[in-house]
Amino acid sequence: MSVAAVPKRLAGGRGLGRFTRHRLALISVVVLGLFILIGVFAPLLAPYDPYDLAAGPGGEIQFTSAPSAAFWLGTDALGRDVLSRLIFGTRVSLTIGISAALLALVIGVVLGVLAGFRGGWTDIILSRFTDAVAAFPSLFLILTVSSFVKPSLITTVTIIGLLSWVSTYRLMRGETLKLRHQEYVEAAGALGAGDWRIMFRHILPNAAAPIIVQTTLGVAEAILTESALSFLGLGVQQPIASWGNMLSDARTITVLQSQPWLWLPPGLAILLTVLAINFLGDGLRDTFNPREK
Amino acid sequence: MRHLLTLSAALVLASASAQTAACPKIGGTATIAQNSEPGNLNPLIFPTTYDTNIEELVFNALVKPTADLDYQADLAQSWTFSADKKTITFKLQPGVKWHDGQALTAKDVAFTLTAIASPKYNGGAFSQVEVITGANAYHDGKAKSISGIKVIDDRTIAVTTDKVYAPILATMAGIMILPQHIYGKIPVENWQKDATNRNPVGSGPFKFKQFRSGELIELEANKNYFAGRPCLDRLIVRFGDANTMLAALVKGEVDAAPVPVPSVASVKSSPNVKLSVVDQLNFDYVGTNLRNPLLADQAVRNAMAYAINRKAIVSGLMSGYGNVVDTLFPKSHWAYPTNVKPIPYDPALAQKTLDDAGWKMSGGVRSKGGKTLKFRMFYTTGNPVRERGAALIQANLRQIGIQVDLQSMDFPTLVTFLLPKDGKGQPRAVTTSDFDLFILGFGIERDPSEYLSYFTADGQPPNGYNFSGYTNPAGGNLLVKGQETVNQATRKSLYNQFGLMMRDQLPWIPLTQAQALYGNQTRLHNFAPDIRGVNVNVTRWWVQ
Amino acid sequence: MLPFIAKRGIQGVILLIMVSFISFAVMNLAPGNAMQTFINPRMSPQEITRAENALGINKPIPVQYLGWASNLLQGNFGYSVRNGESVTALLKQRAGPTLLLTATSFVLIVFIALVIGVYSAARPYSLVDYLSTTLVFAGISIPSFFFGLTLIYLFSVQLGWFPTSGFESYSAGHQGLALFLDRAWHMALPVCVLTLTGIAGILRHVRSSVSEALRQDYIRTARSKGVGERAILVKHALRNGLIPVVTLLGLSLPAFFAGSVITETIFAWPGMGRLLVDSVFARDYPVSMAINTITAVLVIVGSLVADMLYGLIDPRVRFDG
Repeated sequence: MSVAAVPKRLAGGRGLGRFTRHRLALISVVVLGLFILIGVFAPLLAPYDPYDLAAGPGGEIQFTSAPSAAFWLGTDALGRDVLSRLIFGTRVSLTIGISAALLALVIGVVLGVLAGFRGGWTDIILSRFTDAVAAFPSLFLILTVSSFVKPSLITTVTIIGLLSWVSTYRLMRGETLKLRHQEYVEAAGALGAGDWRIMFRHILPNAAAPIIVQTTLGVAEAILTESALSFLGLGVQQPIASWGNMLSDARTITVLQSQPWLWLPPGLAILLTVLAINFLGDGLRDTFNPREK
Repeated sequence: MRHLLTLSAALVLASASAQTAACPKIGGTATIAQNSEPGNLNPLIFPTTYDTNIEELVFNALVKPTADLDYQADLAQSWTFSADKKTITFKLQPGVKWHDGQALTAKDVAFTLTAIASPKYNGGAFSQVEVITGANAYHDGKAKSISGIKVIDDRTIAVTTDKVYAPILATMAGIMILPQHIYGKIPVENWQKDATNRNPVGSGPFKFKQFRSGELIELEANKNYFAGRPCLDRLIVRFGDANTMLAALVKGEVDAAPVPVPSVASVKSSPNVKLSVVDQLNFDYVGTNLRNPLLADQAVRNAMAYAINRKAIVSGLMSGYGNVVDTLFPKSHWAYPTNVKPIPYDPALAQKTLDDAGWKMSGGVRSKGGKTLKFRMFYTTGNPVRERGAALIQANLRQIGIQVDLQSMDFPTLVTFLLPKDGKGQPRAVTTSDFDLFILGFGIERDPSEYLSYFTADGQPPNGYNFSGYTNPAGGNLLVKGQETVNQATRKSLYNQFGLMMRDQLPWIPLTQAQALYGNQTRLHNFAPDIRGVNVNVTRWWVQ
Repeated sequence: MLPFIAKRGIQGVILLIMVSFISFAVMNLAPGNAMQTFINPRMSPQEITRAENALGINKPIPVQYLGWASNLLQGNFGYSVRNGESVTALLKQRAGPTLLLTATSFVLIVFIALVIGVYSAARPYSLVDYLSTTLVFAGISIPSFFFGLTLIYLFSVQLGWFPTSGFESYSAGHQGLALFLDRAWHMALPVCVLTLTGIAGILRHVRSSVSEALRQDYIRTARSKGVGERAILVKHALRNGLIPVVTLLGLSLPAFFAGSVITETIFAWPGMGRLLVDSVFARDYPVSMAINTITAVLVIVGSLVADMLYGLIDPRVRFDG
């Protein structure tokens, strides 16, 4: 997912062949594509309005009813169709998971490679700034932000992204420190390649492995963090569905014991997404890794 | 999270009912659970629900409530009113000792009441004793003592108020008496940070033994308790998440715990656990900002009330453990007007009400004269029934063309909207734009006089808690009269009238009253919580 | 090495002052304050304002900060508004249980991650690799409150093997060895949750960096020279696998003190994570500030330690800073 390196290598053609050898990566592309399609076409696919309280034959609300012919995945504690909420939740959770992880990726990678490569004052300032972010009281930050901005998808993505790039930064910087004195990097420098070119053409592709892993983990983390945010007044607000808030709405022993339709579907959806992104990441790494011969 | 406006605990006072029946078995340890950790254990420093649950085991007040919301003897054996109803004289129980063996006398009572009025006291209880003659002068430093408090002898004390003050017994039930020989040595301004906060010495049925932060409070029986020793030797109160404590209850690690409604099925299916269902005095409501002209429209408030399916909240979200509330008094309160007209659930009537008032539907939302029925609704997180109720109300209102944007927040955040401050941090008046609608709980006390601060024009923030901005003098006057009337029948009729008026005017749209659920292991006997709380008959609990 | 540490020490102090001031400011800007959480109908709003003034909540933030900082320089973290107890005493009670939990699970995580990670890297796309991959991703896909509740339900309520929660069997009053064993027994489930939910990161990083190393030329050279597979894995590949472990160790040092909010809450564990959350919701600034400050110190130390360990593990890493 080292964006800068992708187009050139793809054009090379050789990468694509190796990519297809990874059946899992292909399946992952299909799964993720499917999820994205579900998200995009949610209004067409969902059997019910995800906000409507499902009414039974007598007009009474069907609270927490088990899966049935009418409601394939049952209804939730408010009597809303779980399947429809799962489908609409795909939109919210994928957007948040992927955008927040990408935001963290971009910030962490750019700052990390800069700090590691330039060293000196650049490194000191960036690293201490990163320490400051890591040391920041995030709970209070969220509370304070929530009093100034309206909760929305964009604020949620921004907050999660801005609070979660530290690990990526540290990993990227560590890798850069390791790589920058390698012969081929120093050789590129001697041949007159500019700093940015060295950083993004020579260092970044070689540091891709840990960054891909970290970003994969970040997707899952962002999806789950979203639901925790709504407890503090940020995150998506009711009645909008997300996989995260479907799960946290189900946090009781009784649900666990006897109402699996409330937690299995969103849990599996998150697991599938994360697995797919992981295998895709593995595939990408193997394909574009310059050292793989 | 502590939703302190739902002040069920301030009601829950005192502890031991006089022990007539002997204990079937003496000794042993019971472990009970509560869902949040108490803070400061000085009952006169900002008591919260969770603090009070512990404090009432260690301390006593002069009087305590009965199950039917009258008052009975606690530290005071008896009391008499003077002819002008302005002086009440308490006679204390004989031979009461503090946990450290010192005698408890009327001087301790005078000390406690005086300390609250001290100019240096900052614990939030001064408003309660303000009515005592001379309390304000003492508070302002103009007097050396409070003229309205007179110690007559070691067992007798008289308290005088400026005006006839009907809630005086309610006030006294809310003030736990502290030992002068301990707290008298600590300057009042240091009470908030003194070691006694975590090591209280009282006169109650249990002696404080230890406070392990994040874990438990351990208490041991006061074998010399004036109302008879508790059957138990030791009582452990653990703190933990509701789900976890429920699991601990089912497994038998704790003997009693609150049961969250969504988990009630798990308790019913375990044979060793008995479920108790208890009425409470607190109820949830939708508060309105009447400064907003759209919400000042009676038709809009009526339509909202008709459109909200409160029965579904009770049956679906509370599994039936609750009641619909039609006015500002729940059915279990003495001031409840039995002839109140129930608020119907009738979406068609709601539509018609809005139609008749000229609110025209277009694109799913109603509007009139360029104004659209679109509101923000704030609610607090942490209570699953309220969180889901908010979404249900939103869906109900959507059906009649009122668009509600929900916004969740924690309680202190909500307070900043209801009791706003200016740029310099000083409290200011509420404006139209501070909020539209909010959902909160209200713990009505035995004595409803506190509504004075909520429904009179003078009570608007920053002077009181009239967030809604209800300024109709008709309602306010009933409340003023209610506070100055001692005759119970007359009071009842005044508050009944107030209840009927609130049902018609709906400054708050009353929703539901939840019942409290507790489970106890069958090895713990006589566990019988009631409307006053979980610990009412703690001295009679015994274990096999 | 020494001048390096000294330099970083100075940077750390400057950073600490900045971070603590900004934290202090952000905290004070957060809506609501400690006194407002105490609001009840029997207390007039004027009394709340009076109590706020007595606490100094309404003073300008820099003034409040200076007061707080000068107390701190005398070793005084102040008093908890909510508990009426000295913050230092509270922290002392809570730090031990958190450290016990986080350190135990960290050791487990590193051990398991190294063993499985190296194995998976050596035999990629084997059954063990797929199984462990799926399992650790399940670990981060399901929130820890769900894992916690599931374990409590299965192993405690249904099977009765472990206690549901708490630090020890309170009514039993164990002493000595019995108390030690009792606590270990109470730790089993929470450690399990922390390990399962925390292992994904390190395991994936170890696997990826070891497999990266196995493709390097020097490994091929070693192989061609007939060095045994085991020796290659342990001597060369594992060393590479340690780099992400070190990075993440540096990052997780603060957590050894601050703990895990959700796991501590679910298991009623008397740790720092619960104290922090309680203090946030109660707007108990002295407690929150104390935890934030100590956490900040550990962030700074953690990042220093990680940098030093990089140099030890991988001589290619050189610092100018």
